[in-house]
Amino acid sequence: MESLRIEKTLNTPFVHLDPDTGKLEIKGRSVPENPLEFYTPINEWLERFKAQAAERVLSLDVELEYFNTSSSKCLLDVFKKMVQLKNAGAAVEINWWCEEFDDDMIEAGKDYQDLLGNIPFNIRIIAGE
Amino acid sequence: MKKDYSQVYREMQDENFILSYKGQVGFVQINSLLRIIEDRLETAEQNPKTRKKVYNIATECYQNLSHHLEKHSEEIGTKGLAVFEAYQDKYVIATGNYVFKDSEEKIRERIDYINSLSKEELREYHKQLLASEGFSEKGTAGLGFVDIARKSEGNLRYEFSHLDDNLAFFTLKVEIPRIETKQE
Repeated sequence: MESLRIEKTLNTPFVHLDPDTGKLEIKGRSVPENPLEFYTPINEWLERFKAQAAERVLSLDVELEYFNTSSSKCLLDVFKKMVQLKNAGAAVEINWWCEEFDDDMIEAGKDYQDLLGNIPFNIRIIAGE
Repeated sequence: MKKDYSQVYREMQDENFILSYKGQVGFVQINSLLRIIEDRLETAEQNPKTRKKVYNIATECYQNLSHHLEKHSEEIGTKGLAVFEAYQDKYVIATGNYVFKDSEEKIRERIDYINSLSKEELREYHKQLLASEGFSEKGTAGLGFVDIARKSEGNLRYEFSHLDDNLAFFTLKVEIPRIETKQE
């Protein structure tokens, strides 16, 4: 299976999904006009990964500077896919990275935690400079 | 008659920064406005929390404006108003656009409902919308106002100025207080 790599733009984040290491990253800004279009390849990739999910270790790091409300819905879909991968036998964790001062980002992480329930969803603080 | 811009400049001097835009509010134009605001905040706002919050709310307000104009495009154009004001003690973000009578009722109901909720109720409502399936026909998640209300922690202020029986100008206004940062 091929890795998925998308370079960041002004409105969309850097994405790297590596099937060999199980390391998944979404980093940067997510404020596109059409987030559905942007997130579809990510969700499709995760769907394809299901076939080899058993016994794998998957770690998704999400480190967003900004995200708009329509992206928030797409992110939930990505997280739900991670739950499905867990159900397919993978050991899964999601890390939601926030700056220490960013209460809005921390709150958003807590909302996802509540909505997902049955998956390790860690709110992590980015070490200050 | 020529416009005296020195007068405009003097009038604007009291405030730190004002950006007022009227015109097409497609995604491209909104992006340009947000770039200017981001640049400006980078130098003018010392508090990173406020800086991020203000930029976030501006993004949501203007993208919201952009999305919600579309259905009127043929009849009353795709133009809107986007305002950003930075004062010593607060930021003001405002948008304006034309809406039809039936939209007015829906918008009123929606904002009044959001304004009636406590912080915790708003959080629950947000989660409920987030978890509901699918996107609206406009491709938005219907979360815009809720998100803006949560982030600004204040009531969304709005106004409708009626032009005739069927058309009104809708103004949305959000204020974000500036947090004092101690200068060392």
